Amino acid sequence: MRDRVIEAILLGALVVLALVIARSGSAYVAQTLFNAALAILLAIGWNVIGGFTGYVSFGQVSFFGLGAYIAALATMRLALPWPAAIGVAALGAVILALPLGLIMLRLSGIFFALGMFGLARILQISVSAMRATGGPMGMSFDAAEDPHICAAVMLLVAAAALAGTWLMLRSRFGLRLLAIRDDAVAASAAGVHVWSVKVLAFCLSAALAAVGGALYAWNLGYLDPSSAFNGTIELQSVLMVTAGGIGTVWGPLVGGAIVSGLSTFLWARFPMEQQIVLGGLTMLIAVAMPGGVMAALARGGVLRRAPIWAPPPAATAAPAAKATAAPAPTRPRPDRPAPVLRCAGLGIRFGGVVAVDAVDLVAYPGELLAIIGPNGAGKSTLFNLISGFARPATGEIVFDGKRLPRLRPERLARAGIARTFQTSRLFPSLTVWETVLLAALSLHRNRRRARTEAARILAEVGLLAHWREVPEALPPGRQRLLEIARALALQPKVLLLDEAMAGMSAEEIARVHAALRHAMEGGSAVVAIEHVLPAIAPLAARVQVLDFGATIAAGHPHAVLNDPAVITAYLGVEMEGATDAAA
Amino acid sequence: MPPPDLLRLEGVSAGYGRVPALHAVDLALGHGETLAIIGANGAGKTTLLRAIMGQIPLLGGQIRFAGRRLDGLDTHARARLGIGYAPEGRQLFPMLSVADTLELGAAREPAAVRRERRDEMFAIFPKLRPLRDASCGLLSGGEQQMVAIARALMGRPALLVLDEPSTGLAPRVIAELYASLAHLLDSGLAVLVAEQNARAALRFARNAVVCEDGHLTLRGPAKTLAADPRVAAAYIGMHDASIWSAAPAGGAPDAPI
Amino acid sequence: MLTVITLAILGLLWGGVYLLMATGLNLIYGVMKVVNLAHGDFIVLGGLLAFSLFAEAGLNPLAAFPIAALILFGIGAGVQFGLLEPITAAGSEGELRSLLATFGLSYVVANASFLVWGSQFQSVPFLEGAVQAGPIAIPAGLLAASLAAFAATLLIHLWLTTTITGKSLHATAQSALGAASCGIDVRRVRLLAFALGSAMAGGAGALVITLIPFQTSTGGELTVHAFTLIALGGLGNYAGAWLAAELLGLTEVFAQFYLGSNAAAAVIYVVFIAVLVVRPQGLLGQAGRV
Repeated sequence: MRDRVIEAILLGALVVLALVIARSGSAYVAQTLFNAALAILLAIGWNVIGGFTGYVSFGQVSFFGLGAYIAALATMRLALPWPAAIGVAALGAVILALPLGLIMLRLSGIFFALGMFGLARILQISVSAMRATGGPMGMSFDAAEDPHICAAVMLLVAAAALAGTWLMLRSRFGLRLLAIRDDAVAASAAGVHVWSVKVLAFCLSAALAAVGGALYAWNLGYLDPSSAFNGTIELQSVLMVTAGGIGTVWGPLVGGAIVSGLSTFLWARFPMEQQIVLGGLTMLIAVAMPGGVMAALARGGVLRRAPIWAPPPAATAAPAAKATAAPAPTRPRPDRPAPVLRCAGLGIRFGGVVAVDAVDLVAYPGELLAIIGPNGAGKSTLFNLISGFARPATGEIVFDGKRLPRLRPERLARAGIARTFQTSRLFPSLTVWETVLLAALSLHRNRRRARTEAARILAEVGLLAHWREVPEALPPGRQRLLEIARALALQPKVLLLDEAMAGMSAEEIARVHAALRHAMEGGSAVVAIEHVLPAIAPLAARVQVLDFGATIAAGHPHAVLNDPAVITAYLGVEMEGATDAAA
Repeated sequence: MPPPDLLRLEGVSAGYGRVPALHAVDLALGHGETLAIIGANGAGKTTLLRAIMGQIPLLGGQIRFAGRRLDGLDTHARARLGIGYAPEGRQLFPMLSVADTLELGAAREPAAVRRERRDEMFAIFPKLRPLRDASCGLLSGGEQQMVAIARALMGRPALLVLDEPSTGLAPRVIAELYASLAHLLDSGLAVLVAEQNARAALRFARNAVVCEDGHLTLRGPAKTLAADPRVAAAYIGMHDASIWSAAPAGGAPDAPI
Repeated sequence: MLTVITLAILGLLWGGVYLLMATGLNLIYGVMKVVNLAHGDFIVLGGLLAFSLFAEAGLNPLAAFPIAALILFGIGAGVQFGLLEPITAAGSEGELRSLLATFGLSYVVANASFLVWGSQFQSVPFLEGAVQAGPIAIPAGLLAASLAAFAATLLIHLWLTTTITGKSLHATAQSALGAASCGIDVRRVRLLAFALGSAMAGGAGALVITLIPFQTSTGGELTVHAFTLIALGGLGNYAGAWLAAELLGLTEVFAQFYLGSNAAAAVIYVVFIAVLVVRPQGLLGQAGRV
């Protein structure tokens, strides 16, 4: 809370100071401030897509140029007043960004970055070829009359954008963005609709760039293709964000202040070398300080990102629930209800290798099914098939009485199939609290309800006291526990645990058992892959053994574990062949 | 004075990030000896081998090979010192042929030497000879594992380090693979093998250690450990040691290798 | 009809030049999974070096070709040693950081070239006549440049596939850990790959400047050209890269003739984005990996 107040005061003071300077200084000072604020606005826009979702773009200048041209044409042809023209520019950018995002965001890494670069060039060439825009020579129109007013408006817009990202990072949208940036697969497992969140961020980023372009046109009164789609604008944004701290609220401001100061100085003294220095600085930051200034400050405990919301005070005050003593193991009940999950003949092959071969699997509410088998037996692949991360080539899945159509993982997660991953997939930059809250928000639209649920689950697994910590600070067992808590927050009808208890202490295992029992009492079915059987044996009603992608045994734990076929598969072969050959 | 150990680990701790996955491990292996590291998934076996090969930095302790400290040496430098390494997942070159892959195992030798050793490998692993021009990516799992081991042997190592050679292989193929390995021991090669497949490893190696949660909890002759109910408990996590006696061939393995 | 045939021949010849431009980038990407965003600027730099060698020393472009390649080899080695290797060694987030680093590098190279050669277009006149083949006239300069580019690409391809050093580049590209366990110093292999890829860019530049005039800001466009080729052709697939280069050459020549040079420039980007959209998994094939 105190941090938030400090941040708000800091921002307010900066804006007031800048406004005073903009109004009272010379026209040159006003113009310099305008340029700096514009650069910061563009950096903020770039940060939304490049920083918060991890889609580094080399073509955000497309939307800048587009916004500039749309606004200029709107004033010239439609005689719109500038405020309306700026709005039209933002709208135009979003209208372009929406379909474009659906296409471009399918690309990954360098493909996206260069695709955006190509887009900027296409737009530049197209605008050069159009008569309405004055072709390559550009066009003139009525500019703002007073540079002071221009600078003040620009400052306010940049401050609003900064405040906007600040608020965004404290919203469920911001939480989802951060999760996607950290690990999109885990985010979808937590029920986040990765696709729509990304497209929304892309549109937002485009709108900010377009507003910047429109203000630029208003300020200058002249536009030509090579300056409207100028790559230097891109370089500046990238440099500002990385220098300040990529994916942070304050990064663009801090980096923007440093870089625009530096480029103004360089432009005045060494205009020829300016871009070499800026390029060199980008290289230096990439090599030596990838986190930028904000990472250095955060290490010192300054301006660290505040957790998004917090557990309800009542929850943190209450003593952590104790792991209850183990009641008798759950056994198949004669009166058990209809299965919640029934897989028949599931199969998939990867390049000639049969990974899962006609596997049947049935899970009943309130029961735990343990899946065991040696490395490479296809256990995790089976989970991928059930949870929507891979598409089965054969077989069908009946969930909750209905045949499951092909659904994306986040849809399945929301429908009640939650999972954990064999190697922990947590979000490095989300706290314990945010990790569970993310999943709870996928289920509950109501914010209060989601907070209560998240706090309850954290208390249940004994992690509530650690709610402010990031996963890296937790020992491996607790990290696993957190992943289970994230899955439980989806209130799953079927919970898929992939070696969730590997590396846990006895105390942590007891916590997991208590939480699983509670979930099963609530009607959840649990399917657990485990390597170390005691971790799961007390809870298992049935055991199913996989080897080479196929079920080799299934049934009551005791019977299965004494099945000779299981012993051979699980413990390794007798070596008659080897001794014969060696003799 | 007895000859110095070929490989010696003293108080080695290592891991990923801040949290160690391996805690103060001591281990020694002499010339021509065979040692199996067995344990469940995630117990730290691969981490131990990675530390020996310099793929992860040590958080404490030291590793010596042939009397020399390995600190600061990259994986390739350790390989050149005489440690042949067949890593987890085999790490073959899927688009290169078997012959090329083997030759790369002795990349620093002159062409004539490379060819000579490659032919030696075809003698040891006759199954590979007809496959010499096949791309490694198209081989079966067992063949791939043979290529990985043969590639590691091309540099004439004093120590062979194998990470989970039996993963994903059918029982018969595992038997075949270990049979080929047994042949190699006559030449004085030392072998360190991490295995989840306890039976195969315990039958092959003379000595064994059990790895649990980053600690070496049991050690001794492989024969003794194979009969030790605590191994069954630690390794597969079954308290019921009867599972061993219920094995199809019955009893602990006893044939010497 | 004659026009179409002539255009087709021109397109195929341009394909050879494009192939050399893209093979360097392909090599670097294959071994290090890094896209050098300064690749186009390296090409321009190679061309401008050839221009100076011609203007100051009267050197024939074919003689300037190896010199430009050699200079870029040195620059590439320096960049790999000082800039990219430290990032690779740091491990996590390597892709993003190396992108940013080469993005910055692209500006440094382009603007340093600008300081030396200015902003005007430069070109090197070379074999300005035409070779007459029946009724078809082929510019002699293009023919020579294309043959030189094909020859250079072929030589490098042979070196990569037949020598043990060349194979160790392939090996490192397919599994760095596998290569290291063979005793191959993967750091040296990466240095060699980046230097060699840069040298190919420099050599390509020395040839291309005899065909089209260069300006220091041409680099970004050439980077996209080269990247389009490797995205289209497929990583490590030399036949694919060749096919892609020919397709691009043909597309550009025909677009230029029928649509004009401005539209031709746009067509390249449209092809580029279309390629990305049709093959969104691109060279990485990351789709569906859990």
